[in-house]
This record gives sequence, structure tokens and C-alpha cells, in this order.
Amino acid sequence: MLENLISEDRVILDLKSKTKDEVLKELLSVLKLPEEREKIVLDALKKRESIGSTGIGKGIAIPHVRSVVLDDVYLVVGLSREGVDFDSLDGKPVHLFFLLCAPPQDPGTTYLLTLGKIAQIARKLARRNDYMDIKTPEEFVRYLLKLEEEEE
Amino acid sequence: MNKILEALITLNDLDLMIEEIKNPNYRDLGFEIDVQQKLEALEKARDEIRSKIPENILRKYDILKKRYHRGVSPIIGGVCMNCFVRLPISIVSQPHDNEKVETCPNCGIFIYWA
Repeated sequence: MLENLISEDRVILDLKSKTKDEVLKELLSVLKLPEEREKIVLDALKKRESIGSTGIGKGIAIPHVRSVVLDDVYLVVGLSREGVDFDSLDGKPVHLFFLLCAPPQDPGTTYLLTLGKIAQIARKLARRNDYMDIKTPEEFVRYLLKLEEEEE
Repeated sequence: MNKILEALITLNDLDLMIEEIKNPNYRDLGFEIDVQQKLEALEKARDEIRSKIPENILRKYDILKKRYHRGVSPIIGGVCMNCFVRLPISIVSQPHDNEKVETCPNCGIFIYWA
């Protein structure tokens, strides 16, 4: 499932942002949406975070949103070496982000299934931190695809 | 972008979010949300957005939402993503900058040119 969504050009291994709003913007910028669309999606992401952080603990967050202005399902993966305060459940800084954005039309409930798959991968990642040593986006993509195949 | 269209999109996105947090499958994913408390906050935000939309448009949005579970749909490659019907070439060939509130000539949903 992930292989159709993940690509090297949507992996950032050196997020510069220091705050929650900045990191959402930095992750979203990878999609190169026109300005007016980016603003709408960013506002929706912030609104979603305002009802409860998507920082699930153990240094991982899965910000996600659906919006009318999106034409496809997009996944962006970001790694922050320093960590970002994301109001996570465990209060710890977040190092690994999975940003999932999708349009509203979703005949095969792909969005929820993908979100579920990412949450499953995040649970596996929560037990390790070797991903912090990965040096290239290519390597990171391979790492995540391998992890997806592993039994939980 | 037309301000009313922008408000309709924001309203639609908020409605999606409200639907999502009510969905038990979503809650099983492990995002911790105090549903009752947060629903109130989202519904308040929704009321604020609704107050920016003229009543006749809002009435139509509500009818569309009841019928299709959404009031706004993107047009992608000339196709309405709500009814999946290709719009007439006479409409598609015109420039579209989302500066006016338009509807799909087939299903009547408010449209956003993506």
C-alpha cells in the first residue's frame, strides 16, 4: 500500500522547523501546491491539531487532513534531528512526521486504510530509533517499505 | 479566490473533520480526542463559517450535503469528482480562477476548479 504513496522527493531528512505550525508548513511545502490551496490545507491541518495533537508519542506524529482543494492522496515523511514540540501524548518532542493529505472523495476508504497502515508502522517505529541514522531519502523509503512488510 | 467559495470549502472541510472524529474506525487508530468537548469546539467554528455564507447558498449546501454527504466538489481534468460526469467543453474551455461560485451542471454541487 505504501509503495504507491511514498517517494524520495516527499521525504525530508533535515526538517528545519522548531514549532508545530512551522513544521506543518514545511512538510506541506513539499507538495508545491498553489498558494491559495496550500493556505486552505494548512488552515485545516491546524484546525485538526487544535482538537487534539496527532503526536502519538515516542517521537512520532501523523498530522492528517482531508480537503476539497486536494486532487489526490499525498504522503510526506519528515525527520527532525532536534525534535519539535508537538503537544504529543507523552509530552516528548517529535522527530518523525507522517503528513497525510487526501481529497474528500474516497470510494475505497483508501484514506482511513492508509491512515491505519501508517499508524501500524508508527507502532513498529516506536520500538526502535535506528531510523535516526538514515542518511538519504532513498534509504528511508526502503526502510519504511521493509517495515511495512514485517509482522507486527 | 471568491470569499464565499472559500468559506464553502472551509465549511466542507470542517464537516469532513466532524464526521471523521465521530467515526469509531477513526477513533480506533489511537488518536486521543475528547470527542464531546472537541465536537463542541468544531461545531462552534462551523457556525462561525456558516455566518459568512449567504442564506440561499447555505440552504443549497445543506440540501447537497444531505444528498451527497458533501456540498463542494473539485473538478479535476474537466470531470466533477462528485458525479464523475465530464463537464461540457464549452464550460471547461473557459478560464477558471475560482473567482465565482459555480455549480456542476449535472449534479448541482458547488464546484472548485482544482
